[in-house]
Amino acid sequence: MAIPIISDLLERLFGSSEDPHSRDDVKRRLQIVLAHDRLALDPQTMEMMRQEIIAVVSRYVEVDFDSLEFSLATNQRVTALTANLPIKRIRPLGRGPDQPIHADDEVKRIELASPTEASALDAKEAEAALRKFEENCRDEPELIHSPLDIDRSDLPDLIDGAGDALHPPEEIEASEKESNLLDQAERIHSDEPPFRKDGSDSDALNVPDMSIPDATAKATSRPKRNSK
Amino acid sequence: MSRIIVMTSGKGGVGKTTCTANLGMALAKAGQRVAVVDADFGLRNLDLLLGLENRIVYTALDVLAGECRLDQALVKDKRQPNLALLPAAQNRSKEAIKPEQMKRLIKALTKVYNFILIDSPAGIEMGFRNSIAAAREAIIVTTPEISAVRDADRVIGLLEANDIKAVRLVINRLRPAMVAAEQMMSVKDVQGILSIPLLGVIPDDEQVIVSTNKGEPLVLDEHLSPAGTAFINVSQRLQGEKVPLMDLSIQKESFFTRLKRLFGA
Repeated sequence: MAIPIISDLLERLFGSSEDPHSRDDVKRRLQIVLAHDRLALDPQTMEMMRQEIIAVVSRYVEVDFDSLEFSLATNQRVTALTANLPIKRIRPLGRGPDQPIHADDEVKRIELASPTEASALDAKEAEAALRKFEENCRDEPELIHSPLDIDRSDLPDLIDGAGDALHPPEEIEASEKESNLLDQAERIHSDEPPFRKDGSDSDALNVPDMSIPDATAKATSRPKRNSK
Repeated sequence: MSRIIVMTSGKGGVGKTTCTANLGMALAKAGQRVAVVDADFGLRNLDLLLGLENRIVYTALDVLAGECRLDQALVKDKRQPNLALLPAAQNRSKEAIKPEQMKRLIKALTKVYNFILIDSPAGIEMGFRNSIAAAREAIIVTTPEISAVRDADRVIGLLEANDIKAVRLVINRLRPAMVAAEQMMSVKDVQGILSIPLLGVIPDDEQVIVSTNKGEPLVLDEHLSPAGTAFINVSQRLQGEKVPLMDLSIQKESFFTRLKRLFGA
């Protein structure tokens, strides 16, 4: 009985012990609510945008779904959308999100092979990867059939100016991408022996050998980075 | 050219009408010819705050209906002859008048008065649209509370969309002690969020209630209360004078003053 009275007395003398600053809360809440008000985006559109952004990013990297954040913030009457998408790892195009790299595959690839062996291996791998990719596409049709694929129309110029650029963006569909993959596989098969004769750069050797569709992914990203 | 200023806030109860009454009276005291227009049809209150409720004969609606002349509807203040009130009708809805009609009324007032303050109703519907129809400037009244600031932000957007560019902010009912204790947004916080020029800050003051009880705006007091002084300052800034903001800072209570207060010293 006496304790609450004493603590009350102490509080009145020394001021509240814990000082939760509601001023910070109100500022934070206002900033968010005003960003939404000013943008006047309805929640459905906002959610659609969120989903599509995640879909696009997920095509290239594996996103940590537990800790991703989308927020609108406003400052000086300017509103910005901030997406915080923690990346777990880069996703090779040929692999689904939950397929770990097999240890066996790794070991096999580390060995140096003769050029002919290597190219034969590559062809086999290319086929296997393509089959895997098709499977994945069947599992996750939105990766290919989502309307966002149209965005890829910007990229063909960057992908060493090959076939893609000739097609209008509407035609870039699943089949298109598959044939593109085949092209890529053939090209690697014929033009690019997977190791260098001097053998000095064995690290570089390991880079492109995750799987062949991955090589396509690199082809898309590398020129883009250079262009900036 | 007359200044036509709408007093608006979005949210109700933040002090639009109190600000209109006090600013109108302060401007009139400073020698300006002022008309205050109650645009809150159906829920008029400006007449009460000015203590003119018993002198209303005709309203703006009667003028529009051709039942009287504009000067017959205007209630001239006896204490301050430079001030006149154009009352709203109390028994009609906000839809009783259209923006075009409001423009006609205000245009007629500009021939005689050089300051026209329009007291907007709360909300962003018809009454609000009527009150901004003729305005060239706006004063946003808000309090340092989340709902008032949010609504103010919405109204600022609507004013911009309606080509009212001169929009300035009055922060009403600030409690400096709470700001010092970090339990209320500061003037800087609110202004930073709304990003419009600041016209003034009115401290929270019990005298506001006393003055509304009597129907005498604070600025008429012989010994000005803090809020009264702040209203005078706002009226001077409105006329282009440079008046520094009132010092509202409060020293954080020391241990000793708390001790004294505790024992009633």
